[in-house]
Formats: sequence, structure tokens, C-alpha cells
Amino acid sequence: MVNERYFYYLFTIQALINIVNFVPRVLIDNRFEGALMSILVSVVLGTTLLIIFTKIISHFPGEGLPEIIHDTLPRFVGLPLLCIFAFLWYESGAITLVSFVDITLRFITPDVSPVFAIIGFLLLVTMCSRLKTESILYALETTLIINCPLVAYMLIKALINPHFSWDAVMQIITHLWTIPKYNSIAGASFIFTGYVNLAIFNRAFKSLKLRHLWMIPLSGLMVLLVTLLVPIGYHGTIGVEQQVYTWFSTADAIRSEFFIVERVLFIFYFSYLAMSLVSVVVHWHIALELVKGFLMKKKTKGVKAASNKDWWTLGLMTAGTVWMGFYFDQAKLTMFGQWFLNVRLPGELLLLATVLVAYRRRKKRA
Amino acid sequence: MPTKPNEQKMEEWLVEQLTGLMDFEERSLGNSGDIKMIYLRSLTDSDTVKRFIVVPSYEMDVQEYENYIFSFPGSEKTKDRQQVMEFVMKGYIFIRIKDSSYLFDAMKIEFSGISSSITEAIVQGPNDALTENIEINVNLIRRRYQSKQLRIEPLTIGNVSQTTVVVMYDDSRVDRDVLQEMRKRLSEISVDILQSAGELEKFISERKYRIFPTTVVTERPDRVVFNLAAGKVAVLMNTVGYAVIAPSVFNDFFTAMDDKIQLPLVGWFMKLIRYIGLFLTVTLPAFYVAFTSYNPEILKIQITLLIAGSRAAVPYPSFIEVVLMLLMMEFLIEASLRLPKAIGPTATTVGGLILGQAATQAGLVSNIMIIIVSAVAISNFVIPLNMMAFTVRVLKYYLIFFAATFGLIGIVVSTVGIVMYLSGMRSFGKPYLEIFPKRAYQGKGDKQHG
Amino acid sequence: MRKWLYLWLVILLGTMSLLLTGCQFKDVDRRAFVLAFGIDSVQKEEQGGQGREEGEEGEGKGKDKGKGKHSIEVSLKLAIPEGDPTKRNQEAIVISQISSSIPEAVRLLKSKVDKELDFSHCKTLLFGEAYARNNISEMTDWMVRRRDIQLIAYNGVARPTAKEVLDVHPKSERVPAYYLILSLGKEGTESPFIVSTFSYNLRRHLTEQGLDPVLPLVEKAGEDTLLINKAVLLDNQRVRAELTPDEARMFNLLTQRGLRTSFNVEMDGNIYSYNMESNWSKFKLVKSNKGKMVVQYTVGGRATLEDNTDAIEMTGRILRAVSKAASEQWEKDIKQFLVKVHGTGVDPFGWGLRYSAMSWNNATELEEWKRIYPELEFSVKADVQVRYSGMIR
Repeated sequence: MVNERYFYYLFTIQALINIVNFVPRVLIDNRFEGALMSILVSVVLGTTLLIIFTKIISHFPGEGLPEIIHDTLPRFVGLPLLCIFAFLWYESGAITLVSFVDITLRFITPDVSPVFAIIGFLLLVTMCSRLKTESILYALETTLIINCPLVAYMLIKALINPHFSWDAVMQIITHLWTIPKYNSIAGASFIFTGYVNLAIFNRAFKSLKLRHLWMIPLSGLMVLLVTLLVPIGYHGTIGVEQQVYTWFSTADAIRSEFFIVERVLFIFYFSYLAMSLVSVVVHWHIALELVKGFLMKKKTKGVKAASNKDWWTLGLMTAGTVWMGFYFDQAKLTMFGQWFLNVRLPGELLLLATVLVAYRRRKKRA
Repeated sequence: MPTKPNEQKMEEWLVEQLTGLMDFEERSLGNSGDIKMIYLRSLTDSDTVKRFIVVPSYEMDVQEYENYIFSFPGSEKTKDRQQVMEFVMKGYIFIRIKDSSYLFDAMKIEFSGISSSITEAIVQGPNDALTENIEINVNLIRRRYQSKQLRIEPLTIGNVSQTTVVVMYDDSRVDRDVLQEMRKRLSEISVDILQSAGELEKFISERKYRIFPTTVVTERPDRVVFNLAAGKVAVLMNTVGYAVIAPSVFNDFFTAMDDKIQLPLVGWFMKLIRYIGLFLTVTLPAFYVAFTSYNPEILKIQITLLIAGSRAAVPYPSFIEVVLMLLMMEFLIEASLRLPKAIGPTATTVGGLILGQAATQAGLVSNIMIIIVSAVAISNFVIPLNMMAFTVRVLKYYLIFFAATFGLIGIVVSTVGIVMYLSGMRSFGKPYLEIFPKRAYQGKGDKQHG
Repeated sequence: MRKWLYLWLVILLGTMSLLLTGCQFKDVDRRAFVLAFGIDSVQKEEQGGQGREEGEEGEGKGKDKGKGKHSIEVSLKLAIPEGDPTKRNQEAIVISQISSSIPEAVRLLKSKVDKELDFSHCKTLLFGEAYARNNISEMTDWMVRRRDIQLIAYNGVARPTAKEVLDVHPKSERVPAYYLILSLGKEGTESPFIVSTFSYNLRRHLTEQGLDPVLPLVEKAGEDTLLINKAVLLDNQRVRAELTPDEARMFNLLTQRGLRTSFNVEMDGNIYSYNMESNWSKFKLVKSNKGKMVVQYTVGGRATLEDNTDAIEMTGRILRAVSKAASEQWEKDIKQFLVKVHGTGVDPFGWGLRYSAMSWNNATELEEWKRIYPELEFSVKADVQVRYSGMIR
């Protein structure tokens, strides 16, 4: 059983790693078509969903989603639901991995073959996603505490650069009053989805009384604004569109003169690789546990230890990711990423509905 | 006299068992001839025997003598053969006075006296180290921990060595689960010989194949006391000058006893230094490999050209160079450890000179490499506890391997792997790597943390 | 049993990975670092070089001499790592190649050196003057698209050609091409005449609407001297105007804070020169009552008196008078400069961007700006405070 502060870590990592690929992409594509408005909308939306979900799930102390579903819903409803959720979580991890392989090849080492990079990542992720739920939380904390100062340093460095164009930022802000598209709302609200990880990680929380909840919309808003506006300040309102990995190009434009490593790109890459890997471990751990959950017999309750059967699930997940790595080119990956963001939002609502129904049924029974 | 044959038989049996041992002694005492003693010379203190057993036997009559012998603390009446045998083997003297027999404590204890701590030296603060005698060790700890809550539970481990093991804890502060777990694991040990704390550590830890130590092995009584006060369990062994402390988490291995002595800011700085040392010693060679072979772009141009220039004459790839030099360094460390004190410095001089100077001049390794190897070696030594220092020594090869195969991403991935591995570890049920751990016991006088 | 299985698995993976990567391992001493990159247009008569053989250039042949778009010359300044680092006289090599496109040229250049070309430390990218007067699009696209060329490289225009500038080996240079890095990046010298521009900055200025790029002009001044004190103004593709050293400094004064420079002002026949300690500048777009758009600059700064020709004693009154005279001087000079820049039709200060940033009417702001721009008026308010008279009064 762990402290509540771990909930904030789950939130933070999700909020931080969104800038790797798809969220800035969709926001920047829509920067003249309501990206800012969608940020505001998604802050409200994301915070609301977060509060509702955590409130409900705190009525199930120490229980994960599989247990809740088994306990309250008929099997023919529960199974498909678990399947859908497991798939979503799996995809969320896989897509991060695949984009990171792409980024690695583009920015860091074209010398390492893609097969190799993906196998390296997958080895780590599969082995680690079998760890205990608490262990993953500890690792998450360590990773964040090591990386957050670096992220803060880079952000400060980015903002105090005299070449940063505040006019370009203002130009985007004047496009505030535009009706946002679904795409960009789905993208922007992605950064708030750290809370859905409670579906499994709730097992580690005895009680979930969250304090300082006001910090969540505030920090979410800050993160989203930074995600959208800092690249614009560096690459201009038009030029920003041309960058494939906007944030990596932005990091490449930041320079730290008095450090051993002059190109901030590398510091950025290191800390984001570490955080993304941990985040993938979190997602795959959930996917794995959900799969185990729907293979679970109705009667057996609680957390089961890691067993060798996990490898079959993990093997499938690995194979899928490798296939994605080979099949996707840049355009397909972007499309798939957007597709994922679009599907995720309804998926999240579905999860919320599931938990809500489960809570109603349990209350009726009690 | 119904008991006489019994005592007589016991005596005869004992004589029979011990005959043939070279240090076996059997003597009649006193004028009456009713007193007989049997003992093993090597285990007993001859001075005690002479002064307290032999001489008085001629000065008093039998009855008085019997009372006199029995009045000594540690003297016991015999019970059965097994007990007699056990005690004689420990260094007690079997004395038969007429119809009754006694066991008299005349143990001779050879131990190295209280010396100052060698493996965990500190600048200021207490210097005593644990000795190889458990009584003295308990004494050393009791003196520093004067609480009636201090519990000491003895037990014996080792079928042959019969090592006395003592479990110590503060009853009011200890974590019950840990204590229970410790008792369980100790009782499950089944070995013939147990004669070092390292072995004990191995027997009571979770996994057999692991790289990080999960219990602190220390020779400092003050560290034991510090940990007892924090609600941990200490295990001491007879014949071993080390204590095993559990549960121990990652941070414990980077805590020197100096930290409490130093001013708070200085203490934090020292701790920071140790973690930086850890980071450097583990990653520096790996970074060198990744930098020279995969990503020369990360450093500034001057450094890049410097390294490229100094490597220009080196005929083999960087990871071979690194591994070669690191191995040489390991040999050097190992050699200067094993060599007698008198020739120890020779190894360092020869090694330092030959490896440092000649190898670069011959163009076999680059200058930068020499600097890195020395930095690695030195920063390795800042880790205060040996078990961890050795672990870290091994760990860097793992990183070099990944750096050589994957470049920079290998380093990041394997570092994340290490963090994950550490997070997955438990020491007696306590998470091994948790940045802000719940402390087992939070006392009033304990606010200041080392 | 299982344990052995794992062990074998690990060993297998280990050897496999070592085998697989062995071939890609390229150590730092096997790489030739490109420290500076130069590109030039090639005149027609020179086109008979090696570049002709490659690719289809039917189009290029048809063009006339000045438009050397399809024929370029790429020059690289390489640092070759050498044995003894203590000697510190790293030799630089300049190699060049004529070709139809940059990648082609780079590929051809690879066979001119024995090591792998590594662009990751390429911190200076120079456009030959002729090239920059024609079209820099290809180059700017290439340098941003390539993964290994930093976005924090310095850009500049070279006169007479990039190749000749790269060929200069200044005496003070310790690391090859470091002269350019130090001076263009103002890491060493802090000359107020150098307008430094990073790649990402150039790129932003090129793409942005209502903002045009400025590049420093690097001139070859002698056998082993370079001179960087001018700048050129570009539109979206090519050089449109050149700034004199004074104008380049004025440009820096208007775009940077804390510029280290000094100015002269004449008052009562006495020339006072003062050294800037701090400066600031900002501009606003205001509609004048005549309905025209006015760019209102407010500039200011603090200065220390450095010398005066008549060696008069400085009193507070005189200092204030000097400040006033300096301010007036600034107002006149800056206004003149702004009018000149406006006259060239480019917008290096981003007035257009500021206009659209301030306008919430997004649909038509660009057309509005196009209408407004030719009619722009300028007003400058300067506030120079000469505060100290130095060590003596």
C-alpha cells in the first residue's frame, strides 16, 4: 500500500511525455483552427473526468478494474470491456515505443538498426511490466525525480532565450476565438489521462483522498500551453508545421553554452527516453494485468503473482509492436497516432461509465 | 549410595570419549582423593584452573570445597551426558566431588582485542570495531544502547560449527514483520559451517542470484546502534567481527557514520558527493564508449577533437580499449589487496607507472582513457560500504556492454533497467529503492537524519 | 535447468548483438569532422567540372550564366584528428566539389577523404554572396532537413565566395574554423557589428509572414584575416540589401539588449564618446490621427563617458546635456535607418508579425498589412542617459 502522492506521479508522467509526438502534432496542425480553445475545453473536460473517476474508484480501495468488473458485472459484458481496455492501453504503450524508435533513428543514432533498437526497448519493457504494481510506482517516482529538474532546466532555458519570438506566440493567441475541432480536443485532453492508470494501480492505494486537486487543471493548462507555444516561439507560426517531431527540433534549437553537453537535444532525448520507457511499462503493466484479469476465474480475487503465462501475452504484445515498427512509415504512424487519440477519448468515457455502473450495482447490493 | 555409580559412570564415559585428544587432562585433586577434574587444556584458562581449582582444593575440606566450587557464577550441576560433553567442549571443567559433579566455567577466550574499524574508517567519531567475541560485541552495543527495550535473542546455527548467533532489536521500535521474517529465515538455515557475516547475509536474503546487497554488513557498533534505534534488526555472530543489519535499503549503503557527525549541510554535501561518485563510476566508461563509437556529436567540438586526437594511434575499437584498461585496474586493486603490506605499494607504483605512462606513450590507449579509468577507480571508493562498492564495480561492465551494442540509448535503457530492478527488489519486505521511504520508526530524538 | 536456459539465452543475445553492431561501429578517430560548410553558385564557364557528369542537367544547361541554380560548389572545412593533442595545431583541410545538388556534392566529397564525413559538429554554414543573391531555399531546406546538422549552427553570407572565406586560416585560430564560431556566435569577441543568426532563427524568419531574415556578412580581408562587420537583409529567398557596419550596429541596438558598443556625439564642437552599459528598445504600432500606421520606437540606455576631445571637466550639467544631445542623435540616426530598411521592402524587425499578433481580426490581417506596409511611418523616441564620467570627472 502506498502513499497518495503516487497518484500525482501517474498524472505527471502522462502530462510530461505527451510532448514526444502526437499531442503537439495535432495541436500545431490546428493552431489557427482552435487549438487554444481546445486546450481550454480539454482542461475543463480532463479535470472533470479525473475528479469523477478518482472519486468513484476511491470507493473500491485496493481493487483493480478486473476485480471490480468480475464482482459487479455479468461476464459477457465484462469480458469485452476488459478486452477493449487492454487493447487501448497496449496501443498507448506500443505507439510511444514505435515513435521513440523512429525518433532515435532520426535524431540520435542512425547507426543502430531499427530492429535492434526496438528489441532493446521491448526487452526492457516486457521484463519490467511483470514487476509488482508497487515496484512500478517506486520506479516511476525515481525516474520522475531524476528527470524533472532536467525538464525544468530545459524549459527555463527555452523561455529565457532572447531569440524566442513572443510575437509569434501572440499571433497564435489572437486565434483564440475559433471553434475547436474534435481532433484537437481529443489530443489535448490526452495529457490528463494519467488518472485512468488507477484502473490497475488502485490496487496499491489503500485510500485515495486527494489534496491539492486545484493543481491539476493549473499544471495541465501550463503543460498544454508550453506544448503548443514554445515550438511556435522557436520555429515561427508557419515554420513550426514543417517539423516532424516538433519538440525534438525545438530542443535542438536550445543551446546550453556552459555545460559539457552543448546541445540540449541530447539532454531532452535522454530524459524523455527514460520517462517514456517508464510510461510504457506503466501502460503495458496495466494491459497485462487486464488480460490476466479476463483470464482470471470468477472466484479468485486479488493480485496474482507474476507467472510464466504472462510471457504469452507479452509475446503477442511484442510481436504486435515489432510489426507496427516495420509496417508504419512516417505518414502512417502519424495517422495511426491521431486515430488512437480520437478513439481514446470515447474509450475513457466508456471506462468511466463502467466504473460508475459497477459502483451503482455494488451500492444497491450492499 | 545410589547415585555413585551414576556419577562414576559419567566420569568413565567422559574419559573414554576424550582419551586420545592431545589436550585431554584428567587429575585428582586434594588430599582426600575424592575430587577429580577432567577438562581440555586448549579450551581452558590455565591460570583460572590453577588459582581457583587446584590451589583451594588443598586448603579446605571436601564439603567446603564443594560449596566453594558451586558458588562461582557459571558453575552448574551436571544433568546428562550430552550437556556434559557440550560444556567440556566449550571449555568448562568437569569436576566430580564425591557423589556429585559440577561444570566449572574456565573458558579461555582468544580474540583480537577491540581494535579500531578498518573497512569503514571515518574521520571523527567512535573508532571501535566489533570484535570476534560475541560477549564483547554485545557489551559494545549495550554500552551504547542503554535501553531496557533492547532484546537479545540467542540461537545456534551450523551443525558442526555451532555458531552462536544473536538477534538484537529494540522491542518498542522494531518492525514486527521484519522481525518475524528474520526469525523464520534464521531458523530455516541448515548448514554445517557458518563463519562469516557474508555467508549469513547470503542465507537470509531473498534471492540467490542478485547483484545488490539487501543487508548491511558492518563492523561498526555505532552503526548497529544507529540502526537499532531506527527500528531495524541486527544479527551478530560469535567468531565474526561483523553485524548484519536488516532491512537495508539502497540509501543505507551510501550512509557513512560521518554524516551524523558532520554539520547538516556538509553531511548532505557528502551524501551528494557519494551519489555523484556512484553515477560517475558506473556511467563514465560507458559514456566514453558510446561517445567515441556512436555519438561524437554530444560533446563540444574541442573535447571531440581532443579525444579523437588522443585515440588516433589506438588500433582497436573503444570498448576493447575500455575493457582492457578497466580489467588492468581491477587487477591492480585486487593485487594490492592480496599482497603483503610491505610490497603492496610496489604493485601500485608498477601498475600506475606502466599502465599510466607507458601505455599511452606506446599508443595502446588514449590519454583520456587513463583519466577516465582513474576517475572511475577513485569514485568507486567513495561508497562507504564494501558490499555496495563491489557491486558497483561489477555493474559498470553491464553498462559498457549496452553502450558498446546500442550506443547512448543503450546507456539510457540499461539505467532505466537498473532503476526498475532496484524498485522491484525488497529487503525483508521493505522496498529497496524508494526515494522518500516511510521510516520504520520515527522517534522524538531522531529527527535529524544522517 | 531453467537457469541454464536463461544463461544460454543471455549469452546468445550478447554475442548476437556484438556481431550485429560490429559493422556499424565507427570510432571517433575514423571520422572527419566538418566544422564549416560553404556553398557557392558556380558561373557557367566553370561548369565543366566533375559535377557535370552526374545526374540529368538538361534544364541547367539551358540557363544563362548568372542563374547558376543548377550548379553549386560545396566547400567543407574539415578537422582531421591528429596524434598528439598537446601540440594543438590541428590542421584544417578545405575540400570542395561542384555538383548539381548538395547531397550529390557531399557524396562526391566523401571520396576525397579517407574518413567518414561527420556533419554533427558543423557549426557554421556560409552562403557565398552570389548564391545568396540568387536563392538560398535549397540550402536552408537541406540544412534543416538533415538530422545531423545542428539547428544551432551559425549562418552567414560570405564575400567574395564561401570557399575563399573558408580557405582563410586566421592566426589566432586554435581549432579549425573556430574563428568563425567564436565571432559569429559572439562567444569570443563581442563585436557590436556582428549580427548573429542561428539556423532555426534563419528558418523561422524565412517562413514567417511579416518577418524577414538578416545574415552577417563575412568578408575576406587579406591572406589570413576575416572581417565581419556588415550584414545583409533578405526576403524569402535572396539578399535584397546590405547594411553598412554602422547600420549593422544600429540593427543590433534595436534587436538586442545589453549591446556592448560606444557612440560619438558632437556638442558645441566637442566630440564626446560614450560607452553603452545597458540598452533596451521596443516598438509599437499606433494609428496616427491621419489614419496612417506609425511604428513607434522607444529606445534607451545607460552609458559611461569614455572620452571627449577637448578634455573638459564633466559636471552633472554637461552630462545631462550630452545625454540630451546623444538622444537627439539617436532619434535622427535610427529614424533614418528605419526609413532605409523600409525602403528596401523587407521586414527584418517583424513589424508585420507584430501587426498580426496584435490584431484579433485573423481573416483579413495579412491583406490589411500588405495595404498598410508601403505607407508605414516611423517615429523614434530615444532616452540615452550618460550617467558616469568614468574614473575622472
